[in-house]
Amino acid sequence: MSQANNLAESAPLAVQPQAELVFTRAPDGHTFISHQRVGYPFHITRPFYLDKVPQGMLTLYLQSVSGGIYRGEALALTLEAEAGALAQVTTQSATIVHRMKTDGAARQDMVIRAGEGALLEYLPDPLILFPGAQFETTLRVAAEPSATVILSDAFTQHDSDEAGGRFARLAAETRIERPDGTLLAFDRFDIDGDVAEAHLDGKAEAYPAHGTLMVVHTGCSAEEMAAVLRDALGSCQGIYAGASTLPQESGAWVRILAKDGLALRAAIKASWTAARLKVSGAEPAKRPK
Amino acid sequence: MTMTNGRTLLAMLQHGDSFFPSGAVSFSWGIEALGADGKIVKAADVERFVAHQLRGRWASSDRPVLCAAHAAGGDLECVFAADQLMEANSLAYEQREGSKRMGAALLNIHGRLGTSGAKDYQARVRAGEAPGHVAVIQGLLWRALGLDMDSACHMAAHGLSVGLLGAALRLGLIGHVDSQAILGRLHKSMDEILRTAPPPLGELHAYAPAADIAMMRHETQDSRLFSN
Repeated sequence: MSQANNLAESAPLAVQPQAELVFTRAPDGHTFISHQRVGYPFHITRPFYLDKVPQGMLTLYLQSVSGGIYRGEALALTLEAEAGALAQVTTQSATIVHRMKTDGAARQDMVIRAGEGALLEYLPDPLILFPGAQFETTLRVAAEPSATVILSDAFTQHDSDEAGGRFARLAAETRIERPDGTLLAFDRFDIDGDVAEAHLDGKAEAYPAHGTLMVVHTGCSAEEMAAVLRDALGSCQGIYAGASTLPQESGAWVRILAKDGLALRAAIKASWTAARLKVSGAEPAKRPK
Repeated sequence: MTMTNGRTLLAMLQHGDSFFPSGAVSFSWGIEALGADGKIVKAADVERFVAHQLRGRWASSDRPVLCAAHAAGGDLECVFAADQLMEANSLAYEQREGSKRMGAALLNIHGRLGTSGAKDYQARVRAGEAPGHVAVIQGLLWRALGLDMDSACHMAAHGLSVGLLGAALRLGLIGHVDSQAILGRLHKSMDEILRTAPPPLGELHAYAPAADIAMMRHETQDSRLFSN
């Protein structure tokens, strides 16, 4: 297994992540931030306890205060949920990836670790890619078999000067591993705005908003989770979407093509809500945004 | 493309032809569901789909895996490493299973033909140790037949195109003339892809969201002619 893992290795991380958060379960069951180091351009809110079930779950809004992602930026984040911790990290609004006129793509490298029995959700709002934007992202997840990790990764594009411009490049990698390095699944793409905008592999129907949600979870069969996600997508409008199992029975995932950002967000929310209900027995409380 | 001698050309024709029982006829790789969902309705849609499968998935994902398995030169551990990567990157169930079923069909016929390495790798697949994805098996076996990497890539690109067009034909989305006209036009795209070096195995990537979604939706589609 190690040979395959090395072959799929991500680029090395920046030495010092700008944001580093560790979530720990207190003896009374509520989750708190036991370690935090959050530097520019990141900012976090105070922790919120929005959900009654699962009890003690913490919600945190993580935002870049700089107004988006700019040329040449190299961002790094680490999120860790220790054994039994329950946390959601989200954003207050979409992140704009600005025009980058010359070479000098921005990048973001992120690591998520989830310990035994932890539930960690990382659900950022979609990226909005401006014409000429170049962004490389990696997200490396190390999850214990008994942990649940729910991730969304979504983007849309906005022609900010209405001149038919497209983003220049989005190279994104999501990699799911066990803590011992066993590779379970990875999704890696490297596209430009033409591909994202124009192609639906058949009919020339425009679906400029694209998203993926992954549920790494072994508490039920992968097929059961896929069915839950499939049902949730069935009631959404303005999308072409599907759900399936992940490799190695490690959970399930959805891919969404949407007519606009609104339809995309609604579909991601519907899938996440259904996954949370399946995992914890209750729908999540409404998130103020 | 390198100059091929007569024997090589004949081997390419034999192993790259749809007459060879590769199992390809059972798979539509999303076309069946896209047709049922009204996303592919005419010949131009089929052409765009096949062109994107070649460029958006095969060229950047299957091809580097095929090349790695070919370059392994019969070292089954290297073949296995490429196979595991393909498994982890085959995210939709029917994509994963389709690729493994085609790989198994290819191993089976080559095992019976006595192609070197076929039975050894088939034993690993049957024991559940190796997934046996088709791109890996193509690289392993076509190398064993003495075909060079470039020829093997041409055969695989041609085979994928013919498989997809054959599925579209059987689904009534295109006619015989369309299918040959499209295949002829795709030669330009295939040639462009094959003149460029594939990404290294560690950088393989793919983006074909509509095909992913179609194969996901196909899992629960009512009446199905194809396995994916």
